[in-house]
Amino acid sequence: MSNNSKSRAVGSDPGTAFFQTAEQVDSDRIDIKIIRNAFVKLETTDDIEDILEQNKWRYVKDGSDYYVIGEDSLRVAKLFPGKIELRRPMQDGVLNKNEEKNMLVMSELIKSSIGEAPDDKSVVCICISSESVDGSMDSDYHKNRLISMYKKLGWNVKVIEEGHAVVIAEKPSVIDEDGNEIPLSGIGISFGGGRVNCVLSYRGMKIVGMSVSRAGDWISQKVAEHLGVSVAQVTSKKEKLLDFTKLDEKDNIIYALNVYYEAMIEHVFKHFANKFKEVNSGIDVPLDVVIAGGTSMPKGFREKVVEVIGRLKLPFKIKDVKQSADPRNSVAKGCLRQAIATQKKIANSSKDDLSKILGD
Amino acid sequence: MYLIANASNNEIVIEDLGITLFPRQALDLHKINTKIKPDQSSNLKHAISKKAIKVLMIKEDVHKSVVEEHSANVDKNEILNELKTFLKDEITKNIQNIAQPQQPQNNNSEQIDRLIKLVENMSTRGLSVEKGSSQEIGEPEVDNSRIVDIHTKAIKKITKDAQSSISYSKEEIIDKDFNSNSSELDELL
Repeated sequence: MSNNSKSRAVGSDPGTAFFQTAEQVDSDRIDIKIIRNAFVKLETTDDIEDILEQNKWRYVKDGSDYYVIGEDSLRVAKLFPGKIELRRPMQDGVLNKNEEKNMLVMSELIKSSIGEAPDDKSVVCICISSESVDGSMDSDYHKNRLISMYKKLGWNVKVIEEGHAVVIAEKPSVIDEDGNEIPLSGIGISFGGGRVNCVLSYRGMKIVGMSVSRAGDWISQKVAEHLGVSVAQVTSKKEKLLDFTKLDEKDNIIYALNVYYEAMIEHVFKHFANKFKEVNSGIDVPLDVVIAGGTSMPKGFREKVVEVIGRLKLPFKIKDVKQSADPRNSVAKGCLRQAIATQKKIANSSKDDLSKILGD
Repeated sequence: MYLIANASNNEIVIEDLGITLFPRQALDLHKINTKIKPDQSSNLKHAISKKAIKVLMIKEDVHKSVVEEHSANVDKNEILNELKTFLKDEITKNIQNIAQPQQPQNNNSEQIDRLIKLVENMSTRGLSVEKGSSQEIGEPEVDNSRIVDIHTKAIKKITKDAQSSISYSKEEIIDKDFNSNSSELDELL
C-alpha cells in the first residue's frame, strides 16, 4: 500500500478483448475492474436516453451520437443482427486505425475506470505489446496515443511490455550454478485475444520480447471459417466447453479448436526461439515459463503447452511450465505491482528524475 | 560469469572491449574473447555509471585469456597505395578496351579520350572522401514527449463533447502473495 495516502498507483491493461484495471485496497486485497472492449452505435431517436436508462445500458455520448459499450454492446448487436455492427477500439493488440471512434471510446473507458490523478505523484502503469514478429504493427502510434489518454488526466505513466507484466505478477525465478535464487527471472507469456506476448526477464529486466498476432481471436476465426459456423458459436464453445484433459473429438468445433490451439502454441515458441537466437542472449540456466491471459484459461492448457514444446527444439532450457492461478487478471496485477514500485521511486525523487524513472 | 545487459533502447559499443550490445541484449563477458578484461574497461565503467549498461551478475570464474591483437608488420599506407595503383590500372585497361580500333571512328572516340583523361585524373588525385562532405541524413528526430503532447491535443479535441455513463464489472481478489518480497521487487523494478 502506498506510503502517501493521497497518491494512487493503478495497473491498467487495455486489451483487444477486455479493458482492465487493478488497484490495491490493502495488503492482500486488489480491486479489479473489467469491461469488454467493444461498442455499437445507436440510431439517435428522441427517446434514446430513456431507452438507455430503462435498459441500464452503459454508453458514451458524443454530441448527438450515442455508443453503447461493454457487454451491453453484445446484447444490442444480438437484438439487431445484421443491422448494428459490433465495433472494437483495438485490433490485434493496438488501437484500430480503421475505427474512427476508437479514441473517443478508449478515452472515456480510461476516464471512467481510473478518473483523474489526485496528485502529481500518482502513477498508472499500462502495458503494450512487444515487438511484432509476424506482421507490422504501428506500436509507436498506439503507445503514444494511449499515454496521452492517461496523461490528459494528470497521471504519471509507466509503460511495460505485456509479457513482462506476467513475470512481475507471477514472480518466476531461476537457480544459478551456485544454487542462488535469482528473482523475477523466466519467460512470461500472455495469451490474449488479439496477440500473444512473450518476454524473457532476468532479475526484473526484460532481455527478449516479442509478440504474434495468432492469438485467441485468430483461433476462433479460423475454426469458424473452416467449419462454416459463426465466430460467436466457436467463441462460446471455446470459453465454456473446451477442456484439453478430455477432448470430445466427435465435436467438430472442439476438434478444430484443439488443432488451432496447438498451431498457435507452436507458432509462439518457434518465433520466440528465433528472437532468442537473434538477440544472442547469454542466459543459459533452465527457465520457468509462466503462462497467463484469457486464451490460456481452458482446462488443461498448461499440459497442452508442455506437449507442444516437447516436440520442438528450443535454444533455451525449460525447467517447468507454470500457469497463473489467476490468468485473466495476471497482466493487470503485474502492471499494478510495477505502478506501486514506480510510485515509491517518484515519492523519493526530485522532479528532474521523473523522466528517467518513467523511462521516457 | 560477468553478465551485463544493455538497459537502453540504443545500440551500445564498448570500444575498448571490442563488443557491441543491441538494445536489451544481455552478454556474459567471461564467455567471449575481449581485448582487455572487463574490470579494466573504462568504456564499460562509463556506460555503467550512465546506467546505459546494467551489471546483472558478477561471479569469479576462469576468465578467458585475453586475445593478443594481431600485429602484422605491414604498413597500412603501403596497402592503400597498392590498391590505388591496381584500381587505376584496371580502370584504364577497361576504358582502352572500349576504345579499340574495331569500334566505329566517330564522335565517340573524342568522348572516350575525355573519359580516359578523367579517369586518369581521378586515379592520380585519389578517390578519397573529402572532410566536410555531405553525409546521409536519416529521418528527422522528434522528441517523444512532444509527440505525446500532439496526441494529447488530438484526444482533447476528440473528447471535448463526450459524456459517459459507464460501470464496470468489479471483482475483489485476495492475493496473499502480492506483497511478498516487496522490498526486493521494488529494488529490481
